[in-house]
Amino acid sequence: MKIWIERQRSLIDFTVAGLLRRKVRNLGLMAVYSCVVFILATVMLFTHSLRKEASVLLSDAPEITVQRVIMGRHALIEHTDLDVVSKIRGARHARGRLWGYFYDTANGANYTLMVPDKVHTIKQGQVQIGAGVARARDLKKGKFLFLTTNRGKLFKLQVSGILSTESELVSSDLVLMSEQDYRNFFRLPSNVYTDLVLNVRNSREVTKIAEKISAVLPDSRVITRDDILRTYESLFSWREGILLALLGGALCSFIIFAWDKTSGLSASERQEIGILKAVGWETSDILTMKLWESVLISLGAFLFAYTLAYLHVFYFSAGLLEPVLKGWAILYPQFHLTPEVDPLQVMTLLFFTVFPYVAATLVPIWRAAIIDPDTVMR
Amino acid sequence: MIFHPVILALLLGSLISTLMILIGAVFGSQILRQWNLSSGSQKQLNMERRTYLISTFLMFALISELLSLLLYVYNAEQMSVQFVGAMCAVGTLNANIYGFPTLIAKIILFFCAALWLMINHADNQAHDYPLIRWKYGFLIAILPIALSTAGLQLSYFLNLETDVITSCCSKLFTPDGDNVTAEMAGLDEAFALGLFYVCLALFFIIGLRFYLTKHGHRLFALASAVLFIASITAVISVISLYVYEHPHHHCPFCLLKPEYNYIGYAIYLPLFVGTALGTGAGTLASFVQIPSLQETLTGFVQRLTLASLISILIFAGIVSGAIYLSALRLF
Amino acid sequence: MIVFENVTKTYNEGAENAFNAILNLDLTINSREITVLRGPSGSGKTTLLTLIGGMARPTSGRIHVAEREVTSLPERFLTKMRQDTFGFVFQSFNLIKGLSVLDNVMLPLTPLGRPRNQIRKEAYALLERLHIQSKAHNLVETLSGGEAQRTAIARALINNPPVLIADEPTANLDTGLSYAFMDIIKELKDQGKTVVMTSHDPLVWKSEIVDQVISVRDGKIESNPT
Ligand SMILES: Nc1ncnc2c1ncn2[C@@H]1O[C@H](COP(=O)(O)OP(=O)(O)OP(=O)(O)O)[C@@H](O)[C@H]1O
Ligand SMILES: [Mg+2]
Repeated sequence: MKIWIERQRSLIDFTVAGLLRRKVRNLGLMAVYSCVVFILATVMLFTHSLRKEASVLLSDAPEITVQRVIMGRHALIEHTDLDVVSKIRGARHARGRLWGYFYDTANGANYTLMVPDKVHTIKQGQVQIGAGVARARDLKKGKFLFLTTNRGKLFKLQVSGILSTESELVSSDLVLMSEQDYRNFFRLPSNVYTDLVLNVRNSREVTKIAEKISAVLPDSRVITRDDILRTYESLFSWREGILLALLGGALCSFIIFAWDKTSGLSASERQEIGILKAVGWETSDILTMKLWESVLISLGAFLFAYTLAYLHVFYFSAGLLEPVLKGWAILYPQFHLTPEVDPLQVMTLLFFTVFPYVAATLVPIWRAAIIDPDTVMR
Repeated sequence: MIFHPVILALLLGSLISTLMILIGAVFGSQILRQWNLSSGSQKQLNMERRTYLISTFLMFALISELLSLLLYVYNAEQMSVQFVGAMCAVGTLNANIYGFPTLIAKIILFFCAALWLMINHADNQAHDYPLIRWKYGFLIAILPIALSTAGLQLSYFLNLETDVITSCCSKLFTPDGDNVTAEMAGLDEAFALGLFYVCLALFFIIGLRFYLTKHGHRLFALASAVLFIASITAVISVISLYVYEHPHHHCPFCLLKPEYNYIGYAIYLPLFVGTALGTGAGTLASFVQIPSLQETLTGFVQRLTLASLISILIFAGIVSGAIYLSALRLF
Repeated sequence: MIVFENVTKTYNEGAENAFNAILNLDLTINSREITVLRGPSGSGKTTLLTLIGGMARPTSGRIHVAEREVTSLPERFLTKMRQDTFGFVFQSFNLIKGLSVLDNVMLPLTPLGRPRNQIRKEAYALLERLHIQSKAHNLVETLSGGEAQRTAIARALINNPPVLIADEPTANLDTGLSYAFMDIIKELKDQGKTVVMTSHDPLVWKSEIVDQVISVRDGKIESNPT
């Protein structure tokens, strides 16, 4: 065992010395490798924390949402339906919600207009806005937000607060206003809501209650929180997967590149291996040494690139990836995701990068290792 | 199919390692037909060189199988939020009929690869490749296992749909089901625990006897395999109860969760290592009679045996410690 | 003692350009003697040397090193035997550029897993014996021809082999250095080592310390050389 460790140490030392002797070539290789890992890691870290963020947010969302559906499309739901739902046993805090989108012709952005849950927090004539909106319209607390309805009527609302940046990912485009202002702005009658939400007393009964609602309101769609969670989960995974598959192409070409680099041993390298074999190194010594080389290169590049990606995502808001992952939103949130390293993810990434790299170099390494020791005699 | 990075990684890993085993097996059939050490022909030289490549491949496949075993379970654990009714890995694995067979196939493949590498190591110690045919015959036999593992895994992931309602550990590992796992969970706790300790004791008796007298290698290999099954059964039927401190929570995977201090890794790692080394030692000992191996193999088998006994001792220690420290008292 | 029995080495066996570099050759090399292989260019000296030193395998025939049949040893044992028995000095020295003299000398022991301090000490001792300890930390590409050769000899001796093998050792040296080389060889012989070399150089094969001169022509031993 001691001999084994000493042997590996000697071989690693020798490998490192060899890598340093061919600095330019190996640095080039590592740079390309790091790029690939960096992109992959950024995508994975980013989508992972988005997903995490979404699920945290959803954790205090209402358990059931009821939407009215007319001709297959989401329609306004009426107050009477709220009464029906409230009467179902096990349902708690059934309430109607008002929210919708508004296209701001002034700067081409889409806002989400919404009446907050606790009505009394926002007085009539006031709004609370997300940081994205504040940036786009250059607003501060106390200033006025002017919105023009589709009918050309001008609304003047005083900004009573800007939503904290903590939750900017979701709140960036929010405009919170009072129910009265909302109804006036969109010219909604007072007996309709965008949808209904309710909590459930016993969380095991969610499915049962959802079924009951479907039965009493056959023209509605009932969505449970778990449904949303699952959809989010698979949506994010799916996006991540697609991206990875695309990047897989890049990875493939990189692997070919690695193969090429390893198999196209330079004359001096062949000479060196020949010398080693001639002075008494065995095929497996060369194999081990070269394997260490692959592992050191790939693991080194991996760690380096992963650290970079980590910093990029969590401290520089993934600036390079924004457009790809989130669509070309104008109110793009500037936010800081909670740093998190997920071992499963690291292992996955290892599987995607170090693993194929080492695999691709095995055959070329072996080919180098079986050079005849007598080649250097000629 | 769910397009998930971990799944892609697992498929990629299994593709690569299966390919390597396939190449190894194809080469193995050539060895079986043409190996002739006394020949100095180029063909023989090339064959000998290729054995280095194949050993490297198998080493690689072993590491990949080990990692992918971990990744597979770990992924199942994390994906459980996507399945209605799933609370942990069991639910995800249960989402279609291929989940558990894949897991079992992966475990078998892992043990096979470990055994192959041990035989390979022993063979390399001798001057005349005494086990070469044996070794490559075995590799050819591993091929179908590798292929079916890869196939099962692929079918599992291809058929994985999030809209199925699956049953999780609370259902699968309850005594009133009618499948094997239910049988395991349904075992009387006292009986299961007694059986486990009897198996452990027998394993140590057989192992020590083998270590000291070098007799009974087949028995020892058998004991290692039986102990593995007995241990997994015990984990499901009773040890898990102690860890979770809950009289009805039978689940072999929740053990791996941080809530239980990752004790699962501490339990499974020595168990897997001990089983692999034990079966390896027992199997290899049958070659001790080969003259060119006698000298080196005896020592190697002894070391393997000792390492196996120590691993299982650690396993037994951790399990007993967990039972002792548990707030749950079943008897 | 190294014994060849009916040894043949065919290059590109089975192909159209197959070539018998050594053909049905019998040979005995005694321990503690200096043997020189001579012959015209292309006669097969180097090939013979690689066979003697276990660097290549014969296509047919048997080779015994110290009573042990080595022809059918698996590669790892052949290499082991080579490590234990032979030290090689190459015509072009074959030092690894970019490494220091000391590192080059330590190369053969690197994969053996012995403690490094010990190896380094042994290497130093050898460099001292060959009077180039002052160059220990120089890169090998900065060495003169004579120094490079002594480094190569030190590397060949680091594993303390009973047999030293050298291919055209004096080809790259001037007369003075060639004599110095022969002095080193004599010293080794006095220490009880066996030496096998090839050489065109009369300075070598006419030297009085040489015990046996074998003439090779067309892959065979010439019985009465001119
Ligand atoms: N790898 C090889 N493949 C094919 N032919 C080879 C190979 N190596 C050597 N030969 C041939 O074998 C013959 C003997 O070569 P060898 O190097 O042994 O000659 P030598 O006696 O050492 O010559 P020199 O004095 O020029 O060094 C030569 O004709 C050479 O062309
Ligand atoms: Mg020559």
